[in-house]
Amino acid sequence: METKHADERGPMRWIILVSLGLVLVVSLFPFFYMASTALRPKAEIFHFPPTWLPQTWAWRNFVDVWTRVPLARYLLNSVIIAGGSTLVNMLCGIPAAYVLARMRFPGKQFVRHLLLVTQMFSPIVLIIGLFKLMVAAKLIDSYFSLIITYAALSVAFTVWFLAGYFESIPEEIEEAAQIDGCSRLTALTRVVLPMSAPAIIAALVFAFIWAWNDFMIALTFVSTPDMRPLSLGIYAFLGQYLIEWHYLMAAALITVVPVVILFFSVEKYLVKGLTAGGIK
Amino acid sequence: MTVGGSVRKGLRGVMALVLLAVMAAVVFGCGSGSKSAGTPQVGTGDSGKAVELRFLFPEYSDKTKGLMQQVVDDFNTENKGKVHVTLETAPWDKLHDKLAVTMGGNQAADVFGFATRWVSEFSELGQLEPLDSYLTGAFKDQFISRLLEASVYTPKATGKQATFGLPVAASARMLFYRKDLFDKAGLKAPTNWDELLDAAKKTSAPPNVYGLGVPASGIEVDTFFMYFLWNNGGDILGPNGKAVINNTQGVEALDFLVKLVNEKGSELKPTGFTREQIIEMFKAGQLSMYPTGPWLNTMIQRDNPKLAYAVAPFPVNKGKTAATVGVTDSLGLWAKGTHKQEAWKFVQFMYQDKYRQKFDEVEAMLPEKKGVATSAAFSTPDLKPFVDALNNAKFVPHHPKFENIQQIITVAVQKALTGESTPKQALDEAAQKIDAL
Amino acid sequence: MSQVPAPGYPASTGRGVGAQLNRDGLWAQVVRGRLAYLFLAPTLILIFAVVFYPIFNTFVMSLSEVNAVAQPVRFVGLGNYTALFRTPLFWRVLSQTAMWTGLVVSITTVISMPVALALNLKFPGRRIARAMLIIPWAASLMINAIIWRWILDGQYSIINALLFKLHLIQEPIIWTGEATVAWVAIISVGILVSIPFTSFSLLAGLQSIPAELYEAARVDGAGFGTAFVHITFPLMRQALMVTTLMNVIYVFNSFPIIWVLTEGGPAYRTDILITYLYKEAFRNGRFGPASAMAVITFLLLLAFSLSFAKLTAERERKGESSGNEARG
Repeated sequence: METKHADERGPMRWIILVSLGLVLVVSLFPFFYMASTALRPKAEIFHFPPTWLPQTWAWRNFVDVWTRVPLARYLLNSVIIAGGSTLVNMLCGIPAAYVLARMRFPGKQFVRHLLLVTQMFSPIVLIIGLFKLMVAAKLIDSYFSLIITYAALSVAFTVWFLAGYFESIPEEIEEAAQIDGCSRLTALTRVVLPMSAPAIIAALVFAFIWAWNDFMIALTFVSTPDMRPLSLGIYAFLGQYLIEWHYLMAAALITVVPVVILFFSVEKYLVKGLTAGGIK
Repeated sequence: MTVGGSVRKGLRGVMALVLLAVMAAVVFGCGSGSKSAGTPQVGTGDSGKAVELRFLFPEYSDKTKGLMQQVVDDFNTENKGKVHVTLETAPWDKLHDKLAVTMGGNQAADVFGFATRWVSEFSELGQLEPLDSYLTGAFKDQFISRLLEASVYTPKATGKQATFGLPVAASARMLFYRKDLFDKAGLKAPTNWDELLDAAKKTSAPPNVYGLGVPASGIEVDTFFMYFLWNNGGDILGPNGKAVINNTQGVEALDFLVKLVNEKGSELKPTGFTREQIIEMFKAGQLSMYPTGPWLNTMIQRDNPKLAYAVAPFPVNKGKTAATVGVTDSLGLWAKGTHKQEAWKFVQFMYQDKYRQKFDEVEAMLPEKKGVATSAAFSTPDLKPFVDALNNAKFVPHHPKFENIQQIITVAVQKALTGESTPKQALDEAAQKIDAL
Repeated sequence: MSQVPAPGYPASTGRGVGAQLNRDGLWAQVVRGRLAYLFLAPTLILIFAVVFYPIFNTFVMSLSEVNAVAQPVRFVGLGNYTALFRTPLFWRVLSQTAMWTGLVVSITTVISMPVALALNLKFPGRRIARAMLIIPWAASLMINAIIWRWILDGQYSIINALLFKLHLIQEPIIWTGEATVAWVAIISVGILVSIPFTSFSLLAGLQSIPAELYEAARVDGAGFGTAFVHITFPLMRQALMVTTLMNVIYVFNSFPIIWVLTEGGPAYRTDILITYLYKEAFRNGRFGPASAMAVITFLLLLAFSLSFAKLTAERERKGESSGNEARG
């Protein structure tokens, strides 16, 4: 199932494998250099000419960043905000995706278009309006404002992604369950959801990463230093007068690692989910 | 899908949000809690609730938050049960966005720091409280008057001249130069532009050392051009408020900067360098000259104490009057705040000498109070020249759209440096745009 | 800002409001559909509550004179738009946007095709290769951009150090110092961060091609090249189109790379609409024209998506779609 022409031999095989190799090297190079910078003592950062590897390995940068800025607090904020928005996103998105995949009702096409429209405005454009809205609702500087904003901006993707997957589950399976006395709701929870686990996990990860990585909205909504998520918190190292590259890279690495691990763990489902979700 | 339909539903959505918000306030609380309505955290057993104040301050460095938190905590302790201040901070380059959007949303902080060049913009919109009625007698006399005057402005909207801010961070700019490189080349600190160009070329040894650091990208391009413009007798605006940046003095100043860059008296292609990058290069010993504020002393002492450097006034063009580029930031009260008396009380509290002394020292800013200026810390050879220079410092003019002017000048300098336009064309275009504002 | 691709494709299915529905009155349909509305309610409330006011606000500001603190003060009709259309800078930024989007999306697709083919092969380390490719995607655009800013630093660029060592250059390349060089740098970074999503999307497309087709082709003596031209490419068209649409929306609106690397400079030469409008709004306090540009951006993307959806729908009607894929 995974590979369709896996046993292809000949020169083409090598050409495409080499291109993959090249792309990987170039794609990973910045992350290698990020780690290499994160492990340098300050004095080496502005050494000219620059070197590929640190001359002395400054492992303590990774200790220092936790005290230079309240990184633990930022991490906690990020977990709460990204976790909360993922939860809201899923609770709203799963039923909506199910409805779009399975049910017929007036206005269905309108709903589809509506979801699409929300994606055509870059969040940058919406910042002013979002801010005014949150001010009017007295929600500025709260976790809640970020949670619902992220959920609202990413739910369209969840719905689209999951609807595609739900459609690929044969309706007969569900009908069989309904004949067995299940209601539509129990059919959803007992049959459709377990079968869709891979896609749901992939959608969940997408939503989480979206929230985890946002910078501009957090910047606009958050005033008090202790409320900052990681993405905003590490910005402190990009100062007005100087950039502390070693700390910036160390903190960025700390931000990236959890997401990469998450992404790794669902890589398999990702392709499956994309296969079903619209890309046919 | 019709836009009209979306809009109508959008309005209903707002109502839904209000409902959601009410529920949310119950379930989630409001974040840190310090600001959430109805949860007074100060005062035990008093009948009235403490007045809640918000104080927004820019981050000058990673020390700023700690310094200001100390002031706020001391104030809160002293005024327990009566006034409670919450500190908010913003990265410097995001401060203007933050102020603009919060003022527009009627949710600005009661007390906030801001760049003095924004005085006209915000006061024209009625967002800044005139401070003259609060600023009286002994309190006013503590300030260096030159700095206090920097935030005096007459808004067109009211026609009433007023002081709209108190100086909260001041700097005068001087030329840092590498003593060792100059000695080796047999040079003295440049006093005029010929010497500057000569020194820039002679001390440069690419790719390891370049001459004058020119940050022509990012946030300080316009200020950098002022070193040249003002030391050639030029200015941005004339007495009648019209642009004069493209007069002979202006064009000559930009011509000189372009010449210096083209003759390799600076790093290569300055449009690829921001202030942060230039500062790092000077600190690491890869530039022979760079004009900036006193904070560079502190940074060098911390990061590269072996660097041999000295400080001199920025060179003036022959036959012209010297001018020191001065920059101040101010502290203002929000005109639409509901507790201005309490806010002023906090302002007076934070302007105690002990707090200002510590702030100015740690952030390497120049004293704005006479008492601090005469202290031992500011009488050192590193800092004394800056404090003295403050007395004849020149500040950018007040203009309600000064942010636009900064952008216009930045673009003109970049166009001239990349060769897209001649200095004359670039400045003519800039003058035309400034007058059209 | 978003790393998640936009759901550009309206997941059109052959179903929808069928003939049977049209026999009933609307009310009856609504009643029958009440479960559907109940299920949709949370999503719709969330979107209406959070997203639609800002969109509405953008429209209002685009039709108004707006003061420096983003409050509309006077209705000016289409004044902001006509003023924009008369500004040469706007047209230049628009063409820069087209160039940026066009080059990034097309080159990304060309590079991602062999990458997807390779990831679909069986070779030792395939799982690791897939995992590695995800890294730039998982890290935010902001972080990608910050790393590249450091790699492309005027003085400390490690790439310059490498080129020096190889004797390819005599003096450092200042990557963000002038427009042409800056565009090369910016577009390259744009392509690199877009490759993972594009490759995985195309991989998903590849995996939905039935294996039997290749078996049959092999029996007929077709080599890899012939199979690619006659089987892979035609059956991948749908995946390619959807991926392209998503990439266009996503690259068109991409902010952090250009902002962190050049802020659109020198002298607006590397601005695209989104960075230019951000500058107009937040640096210059011109919220009216900035909002008008936001609306124009939206209309351009809308027009693009609709014509795309129409194209796709036509193809589906012609029965060229590969039908539902087999799920394992």
